[in-house]
Amino acid sequence: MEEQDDFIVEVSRRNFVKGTGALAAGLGLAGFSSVGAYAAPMAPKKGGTLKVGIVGGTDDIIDAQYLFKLADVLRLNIGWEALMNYDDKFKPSTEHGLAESVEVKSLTKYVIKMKKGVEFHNGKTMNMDDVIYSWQRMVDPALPGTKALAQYLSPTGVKKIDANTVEMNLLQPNADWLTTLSQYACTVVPVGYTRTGPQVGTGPYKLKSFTPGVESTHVRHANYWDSGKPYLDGVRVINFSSTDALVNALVAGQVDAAIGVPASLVPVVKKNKKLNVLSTSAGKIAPIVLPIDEAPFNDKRVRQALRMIIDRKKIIKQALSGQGTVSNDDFSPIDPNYNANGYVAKQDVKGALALLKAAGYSKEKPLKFTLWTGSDNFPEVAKSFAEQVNSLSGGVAKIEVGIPADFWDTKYMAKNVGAYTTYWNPKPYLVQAGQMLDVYDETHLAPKGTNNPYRKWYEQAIAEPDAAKRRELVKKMQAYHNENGGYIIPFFLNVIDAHSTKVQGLVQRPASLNLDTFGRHFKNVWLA
Amino acid sequence: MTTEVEGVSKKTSFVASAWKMHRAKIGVAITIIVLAFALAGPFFAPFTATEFVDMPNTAEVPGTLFGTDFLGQDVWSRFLLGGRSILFLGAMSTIIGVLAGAMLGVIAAYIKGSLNSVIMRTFDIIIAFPGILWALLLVSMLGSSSLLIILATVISTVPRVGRIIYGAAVAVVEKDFVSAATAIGESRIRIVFREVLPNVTSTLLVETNLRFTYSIGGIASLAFLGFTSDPTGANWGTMVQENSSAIILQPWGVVLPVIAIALLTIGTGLIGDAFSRVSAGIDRGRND
Amino acid sequence: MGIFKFVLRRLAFGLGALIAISAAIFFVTQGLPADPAKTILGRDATPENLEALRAVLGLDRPLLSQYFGWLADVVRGDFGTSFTTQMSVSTYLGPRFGNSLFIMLVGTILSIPISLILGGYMALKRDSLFDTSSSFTTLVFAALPEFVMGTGLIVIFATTVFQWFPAVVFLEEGAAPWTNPMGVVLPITTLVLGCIPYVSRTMRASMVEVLESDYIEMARLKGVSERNVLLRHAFPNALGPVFQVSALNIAYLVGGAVIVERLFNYPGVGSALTDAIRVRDLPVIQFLSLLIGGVYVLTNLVADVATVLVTPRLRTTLK
Repeated sequence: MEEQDDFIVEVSRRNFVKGTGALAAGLGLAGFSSVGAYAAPMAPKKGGTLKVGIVGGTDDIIDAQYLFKLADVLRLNIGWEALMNYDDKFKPSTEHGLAESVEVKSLTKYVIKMKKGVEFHNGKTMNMDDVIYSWQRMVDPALPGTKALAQYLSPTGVKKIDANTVEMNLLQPNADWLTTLSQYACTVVPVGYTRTGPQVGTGPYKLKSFTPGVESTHVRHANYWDSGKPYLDGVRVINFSSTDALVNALVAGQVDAAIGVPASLVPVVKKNKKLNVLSTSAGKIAPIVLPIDEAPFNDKRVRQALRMIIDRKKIIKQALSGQGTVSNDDFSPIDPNYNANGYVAKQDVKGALALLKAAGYSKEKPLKFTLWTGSDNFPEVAKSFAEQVNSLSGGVAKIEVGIPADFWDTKYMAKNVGAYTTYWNPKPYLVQAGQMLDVYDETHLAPKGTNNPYRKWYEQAIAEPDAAKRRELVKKMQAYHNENGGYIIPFFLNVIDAHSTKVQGLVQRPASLNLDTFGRHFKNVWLA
Repeated sequence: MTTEVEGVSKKTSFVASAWKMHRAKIGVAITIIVLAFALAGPFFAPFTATEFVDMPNTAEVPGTLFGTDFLGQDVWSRFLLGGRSILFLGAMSTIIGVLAGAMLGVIAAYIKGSLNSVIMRTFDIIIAFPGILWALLLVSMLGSSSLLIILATVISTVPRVGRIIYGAAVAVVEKDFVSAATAIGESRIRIVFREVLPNVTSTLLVETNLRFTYSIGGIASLAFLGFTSDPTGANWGTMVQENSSAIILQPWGVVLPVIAIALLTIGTGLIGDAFSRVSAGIDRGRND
Repeated sequence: MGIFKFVLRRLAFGLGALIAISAAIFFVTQGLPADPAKTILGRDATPENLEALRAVLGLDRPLLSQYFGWLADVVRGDFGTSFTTQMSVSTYLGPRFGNSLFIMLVGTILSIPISLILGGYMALKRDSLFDTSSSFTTLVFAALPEFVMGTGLIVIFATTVFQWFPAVVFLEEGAAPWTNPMGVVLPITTLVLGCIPYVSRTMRASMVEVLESDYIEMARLKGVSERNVLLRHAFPNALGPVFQVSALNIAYLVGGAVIVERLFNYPGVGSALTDAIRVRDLPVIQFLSLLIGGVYVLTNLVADVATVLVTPRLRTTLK
């Protein structure tokens, strides 16, 4: 029970620290370089509208708890808040959340005390019925995408204790439940909220207008609970059809900030003295998926050879213009148990060729498959990977890259199509493993209903309250994954955004979401 | 293209009088230069199309002529390699489109009645929608294999060629010698090929040239919108799209293919203009 | 045949063509295995998400009933609801239609007089240095695809050489495009440069023909002043073919707008169509194809009527 105690201490210390004002900001900044011309603290200026550019289309939506694309994530974060957030060190914290404190009674029982006097955009004060309704909506099977949550929480799982407290009882233990509470999409909405009804939340800005594929405007929420904030009068989210158009608009000064700048365009932005680049890595990955039960990947030697042959640093240089760090086919660097075995994926071309030879491949009978990717799914990674394998293997392997317009429709997670690419935003190890096991079984590593050790260890770990024992289980999972897994994860991608120097309050530090976690719902951002 | 019509004395003089015009000479010279780059270029490319040379979007890289592109590949090599596919697709779709269009046009001119109106109204309907949109619909729904890109281009070529040839053929059909041939008892198909087609070849020549120019432009535009058969291979249209965002850092990745496409379309356009001046005595308007 | 009957017949054909186009497009887009629900969901296309979305989109009905249901709604003036935006198609496309109309109208208004004057002058100064160089230049522009021309303009006027104009258009929501005059300069220029060659060359040819006609010769012999010969006799008579080409150019503008709007990120119907094709938003694709086909049919009709009206020879045959 050490871990939980730790956490409660953490929460109360944070709350205490928060009470002392300026210190909190100081702690948050420690160890991270600040960018731009505001190294010396300046008093935030009020007013002005921030123009944020992002790639988006007519399929953009606004929903307080659901999203498809990055533009949806952005709009969700402007208007709504979760109970908790990751702090700047990726620990669940209540600092920017609607909860005041969270007490972990056991891995299935959580007592959540809410902040007092939180007002919705329509003037209504948040009460516990809203919190209960919010979680009911999230596990409602009619709202897609909630299956992972529903296996832990039933519609009656949240109960009111008093005017400011709820109790959450899980259907099964989850050692990472605080992480779930920190998911930005697990927000609080007023009772009766629907996607088509009025868009009401508690966030620092309320929605004024929304035209999918064009733009949305958000105005200051006057009675926002975090007093003195937000600084801006409003935020305008402007959609662009491509990253090229987006970067053009930023360089031309038509938007103040651009979310999602391609790595190859970073020098374009850096050339302009009036612009800053935020490029940080918290462990976003773009794996190459080799389904382990399909030919030719059902031969373990093929998977190992493909991992060994590549020069990861060179791929980072080519596909990411250097904006990334090496990964050893492992994920979740924000997790304290990241790569607990200290595994290193070393390049070994000779070894790889020997494995391919042993597997029966030669120049005359090369290893051939198609690597599918989408134009919105880091096609550069696939191209760079294929180029490396093809040239280094000297013709023993021949990978073709396919970028069909209907990639997600016909190739992603389809049977027997070859290899394909995917992407994942940073998550703690067990959360990521759970997604891969139960929701997106991309590699077919440990299908449901099988007695696969990876799945078994996962189920033990997620229910394990003791941190040290959990670490041992995670270590076993990682070792098994390195040996048998179907992911090739050459690197962690930097999340790259850029903004004009007049945009203040953003810090260059690892963040799970773009633009320094969107400036914490844009409440930290101001215009000089 | 001139060999096709040799042997028909009237057409030889047609080509000869077109050749007298300066624009024809300039057009042929420009086209030959671009064709030389596109066809012979691959033999002189210092790198492969996909080889990683240096940091992406760098204009000055030692050992390269024009630096690297968006993926750290050699711009000059990709330029030299990137003309073939456009030329091939352009030529294929022009040949298929013009042949099919000419056939249908001649058939419609010769055979009156319901078949005629079915063909002509179908042409009208296809033309009532911009060609690039037909192509977009088809390619985005069915995928961008070479075959589909050719088909998408052919769809907009056929009715336009068909209408022009129809117009030219109707005039010929009404001339006496066709009725004379019919009177002799020649089969209809024979009449179409022996009597009608040779008499519309000058129009056909103008059309072929014009359609080739538009096909090149259309295929390059599709590539610019992201529809190519080989996503890793070099292609002038795709190069413009891939590199246009970093144009401030590295203009060559855009400038070289843009110049090549421009020269190619201008070159064939000039030849076509010379043909059409001879054929019609006056300038031609756009008919797409 | 009266002009009225002529118009009616052309209208009937136009309507038939539109229905045929809509059917063709419906079955091309809908009859194929592509699944709008999967396209919209992308990576989130887990089976339970798909089912939920398909029900919302009404994709579970049979194909023919979807088509005729749609057609019946259109007749009632209801163009349906966009799959992806969940807005009614007319609400969603209304402002975009206005935006596209703006650049096309300005493009037309600029290009046609310029073309007429240029073409007319080229004909007057036939075989002069001005004529040959203009004819060469227009030929060059006629051959260039829009994206090549647009990219060229961006390189020269927005990014690399000069930074005079923005490289992308940026419109406030609900704001009219003319509130951002700098932004629309390059897109409109691209369209104008695409149009001028055809209209001016047709004008030149037509004018040359008229100037060489017996009728102008006669007027000159009769001692009509050169100014009157040109303005009162030659110019109006040369306009007939120009109307035809101008109509074709308006249709061309619709196609060109797809590329230009995409290149400059301009929120018009062209970019809406590429967007809709990407996400297979069928109601939007259907409506836009009707609209684009309709514009084409109408402009052609107007051009035919105008040609008939300005050409005395044709006017009499119709009467």
